[in-house]
Amino acid sequence: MSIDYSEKIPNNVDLAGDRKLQRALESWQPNFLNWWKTMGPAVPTEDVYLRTAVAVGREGWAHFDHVAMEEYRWGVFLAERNTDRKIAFGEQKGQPVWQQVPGEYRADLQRLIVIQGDTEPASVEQQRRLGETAPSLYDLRNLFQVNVEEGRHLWAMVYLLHAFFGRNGRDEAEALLQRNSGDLDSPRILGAFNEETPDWLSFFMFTYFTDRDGKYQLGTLKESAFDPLSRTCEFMLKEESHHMFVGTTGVDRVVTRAAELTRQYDTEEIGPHGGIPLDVIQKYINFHYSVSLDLFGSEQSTNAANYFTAGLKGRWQEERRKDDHVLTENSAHIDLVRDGVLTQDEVPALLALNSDLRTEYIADCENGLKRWNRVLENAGLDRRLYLPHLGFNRGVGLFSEHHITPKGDVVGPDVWEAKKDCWLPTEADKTHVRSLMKPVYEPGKIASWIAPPTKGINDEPFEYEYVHFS
Amino acid sequence: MPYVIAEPCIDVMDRSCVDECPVDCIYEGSRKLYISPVECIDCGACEPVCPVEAISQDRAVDPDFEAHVADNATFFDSVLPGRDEPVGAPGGAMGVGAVGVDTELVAQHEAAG
Repeated sequence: MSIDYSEKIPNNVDLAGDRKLQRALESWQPNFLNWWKTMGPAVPTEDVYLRTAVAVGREGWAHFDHVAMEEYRWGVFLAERNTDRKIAFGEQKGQPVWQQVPGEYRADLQRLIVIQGDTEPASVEQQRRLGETAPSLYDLRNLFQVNVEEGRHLWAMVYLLHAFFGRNGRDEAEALLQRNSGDLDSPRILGAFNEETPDWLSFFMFTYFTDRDGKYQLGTLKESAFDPLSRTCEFMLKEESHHMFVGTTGVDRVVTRAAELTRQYDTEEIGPHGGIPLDVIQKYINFHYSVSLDLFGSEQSTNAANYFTAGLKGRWQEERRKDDHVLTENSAHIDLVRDGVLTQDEVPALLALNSDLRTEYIADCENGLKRWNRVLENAGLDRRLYLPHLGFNRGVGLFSEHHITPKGDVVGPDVWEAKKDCWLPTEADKTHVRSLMKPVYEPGKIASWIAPPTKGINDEPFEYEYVHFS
Repeated sequence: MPYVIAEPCIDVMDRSCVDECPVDCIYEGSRKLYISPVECIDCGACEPVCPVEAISQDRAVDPDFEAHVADNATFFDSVLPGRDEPVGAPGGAMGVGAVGVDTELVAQHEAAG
């Protein structure tokens, strides 16, 4: 079904054919718009060069144009339905996928959707004030693109809650607008989404490390036996790619500029020269990577096992894996600390599914580090960036009760306290980074601490006027 | 190396992946497409749209097609037949256009049927 843009809520789910659902979503829409006005981007703009989904198929799906952000057509878009699709894993493997929610899985599926849905508005809230310090119009546009698409992802989850979970679902949809990132009384559900995104280095790190977690979480939900959830996540992944583009190339450009200044002044102390030192970049990597690892949950999880067995949430690339997709006879290894030493335990594979997903994520992140180190190598620098040990700075899971250095040494609380400022951003580091965050709104200009992009958006040049201000 | 395109793409070249890639890092040979290992950002947008499942993360390539992991890099790093220099990392396939030649591995692949 193609997307109907004549409707108040653009959609490809035949909302017009379900008046009750349509009315329910249309009554939620003003609340969403009110949330967007109060919690969305703080910089007033006239219009922004944005991508809007116009189709979900393989024939191309995006349209670019200058759009007033509050008039962005947030809608409900599901990937095309495969009528032959079968459940790929768990005890119902081989059965047709579900078009409705089975009663016995209602609570679990609703919980999974609410947790995913809660992350979407959270990041918009975290990034609310970033526009005030954008390093270029190009970057400002990219920030807003990420923001409107996170808003659309909220719509995607709210559609599922309204369409399939009745009164409880509608209440949960409302609550998604009531919780706020960092709110002491009513915070967002997951820790990383209550952290601040106070500067653009944090934003790029967030869109690299935390949105990449989103790639993997959505990838597991794409495998779900609940077909509307699967199709929803499949289309969200298309949009999520842009967010990872922003993060990957954003860090590329910060590292590139740091390398240029390091060479130019023959010192890594480039702060006084308007750059972000590589040492500070490493600390930001350490922080954002470790906080994002927490999003995968505990290494051993009976919830994850139950979700898998029931068919609610699969593994990354489930259908391409060469095993029985049931896993009752399989085992896996998980990392942990025992008697003060890093070691591994063999556990049932079903219990180690969070660890399995995290391993895939880490492999992606390693590619990012290779990429940034290539920038340093090409600049003729010996310095290399690295991922800290997976046990470093953890707040969730088996490592959370231990102190582990970035290099993987188990240390006591005294050593941790004495050294943590060498590993994590200090107030002085954050103050320096924030001091560099001055807006550059002139087309074709860019801040001192970041290199320009190698190309613009949708074949437009970097100098293009991506944002018009009010 | 991030995502790679393997043997099933040879003589198919559907190009859906090219439309999906947010960084324009999928380059066109004569019989096959190749992902630049330097320019790919690991987003995975290309993988699900391939009609012949030729695309996967390097660590998940079908063992039968393992040679294509290195071969994707070879396309960019080596001097291909009829060219004076490596394709390298030009920053986007659109500006380069079809490269029009393949690596030795792909060029020597027997055509189906």
